[in-house]
Amino acid sequence: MHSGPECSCKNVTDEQLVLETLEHRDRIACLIVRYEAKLTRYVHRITNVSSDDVHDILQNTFIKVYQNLEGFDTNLSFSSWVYRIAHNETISTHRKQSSRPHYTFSDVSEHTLDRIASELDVARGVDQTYLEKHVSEVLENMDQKYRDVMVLRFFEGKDYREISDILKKPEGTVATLLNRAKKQFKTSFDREKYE
Amino acid sequence: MSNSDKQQKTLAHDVLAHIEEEHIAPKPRWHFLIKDYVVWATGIASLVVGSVAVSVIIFAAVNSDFAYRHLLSRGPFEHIVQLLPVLWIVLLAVFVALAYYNFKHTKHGYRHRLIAVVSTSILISIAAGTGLYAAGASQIADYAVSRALPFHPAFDEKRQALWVQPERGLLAGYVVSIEDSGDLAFEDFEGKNWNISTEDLNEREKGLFAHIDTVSIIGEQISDDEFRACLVRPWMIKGESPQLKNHLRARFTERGKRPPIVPGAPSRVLTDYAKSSELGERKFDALRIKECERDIPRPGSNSITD
Repeated sequence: MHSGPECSCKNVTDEQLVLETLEHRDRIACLIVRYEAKLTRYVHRITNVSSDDVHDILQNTFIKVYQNLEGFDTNLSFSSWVYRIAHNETISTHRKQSSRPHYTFSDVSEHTLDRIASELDVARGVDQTYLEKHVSEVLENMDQKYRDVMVLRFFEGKDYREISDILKKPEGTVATLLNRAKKQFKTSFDREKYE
Repeated sequence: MSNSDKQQKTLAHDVLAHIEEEHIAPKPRWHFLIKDYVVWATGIASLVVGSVAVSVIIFAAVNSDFAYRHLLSRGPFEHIVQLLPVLWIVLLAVFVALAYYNFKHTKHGYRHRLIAVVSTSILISIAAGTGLYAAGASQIADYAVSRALPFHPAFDEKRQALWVQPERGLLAGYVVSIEDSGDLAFEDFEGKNWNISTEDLNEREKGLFAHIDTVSIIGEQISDDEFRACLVRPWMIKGESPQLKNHLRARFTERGKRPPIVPGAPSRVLTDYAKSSELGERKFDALRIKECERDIPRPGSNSITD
């Protein structure tokens, strides 16, 4: 096992690391280090599993990545591929537990909030604290399919093609879902604002 | 080292330890290649079956005798129901769905919308189905399936049954011989023998018997085995397979049996038949049918409106 993967992982692309992992399995540590934090936040945002469960989900995710390295489609970015596997693993774990979802949006950055507020035109007359609280509440209560695209678009910063590759849906469908998600979000947010 | 670094190292360590303990190895490349090939092959096979289904549907549509629906059935709806190739329509739907399912499971199939994939597979099926129909494959496929599935009669057989309704003035089958009087010794498609009076036929219709022995007749049943012909037409099968016809005829003749698929008239005879009328085949037929309907009372039949 490499003693310090973060040192030898710099300036190496994900795709190059995939090839290297096929030669030396320890190289998967670079990919894990590179994606663990992002995927941990992502898993927390799309489901309500505990930190231990997140650890298990990510462990299973990277084991699946390792098992399926030869099937990695080089036309796809590694990022989209690993997000897709993590998404499926999360949904699968969540279904097994069949508990009511509770989502974590407490670590929403100011930049993300500004972006949501600006794109959805919901920021007029509200302060940052109010925005942070209610954006989280509204997102937590949205339909799963709408929250999935909202999280990937606004929190993970993915473009339509990447969302399409992660959720395995056509780009047109992603655009439609996102449009409806924005409408649902705006309606719910405005209702909360005036209640 | 920060907490985050510890967690990352823990996860990386746990993943690698698990891989080592469980002796997990990457699946070989051929595993994914075979999966891809199977998905594509199944999708293409689904399209081929869908195309064959379309070709049989076209075959059924062009041979539906819709212009004669008022004679063959009680109305357009009943006529369509009687001749509808239900099995092939179901097969088309199933295999278009299967083609869609397989395409969606190709590497990038998910990038395309349902409507685009289904429309494309239907268009491909229609294009290929038209080609198969033109090549005569539709009749072969329908015949082969009818032999494999006892509950599914071939379209030819359903059509023959519609034309053998002597009580309604309809008869179809083979001319066995022509008597000196001009009457016909005739065997219908169900194997019953008839004596057919031809005195009401015009010279053009009588001339048909010099070239063909398989005809449909509109007329009147006189007795249990006598029938008066008012109009005779060649038994026409559009999209017929000459290869199948010859193959089956040879095989069944060798065994001393009549072929189960009735051959249509040779195209040369049909061309001559159509040319011999100044009005054109369809108008001429319509006029003759009107004459026959006027002359021969047909219980339950409606008057001709087209």
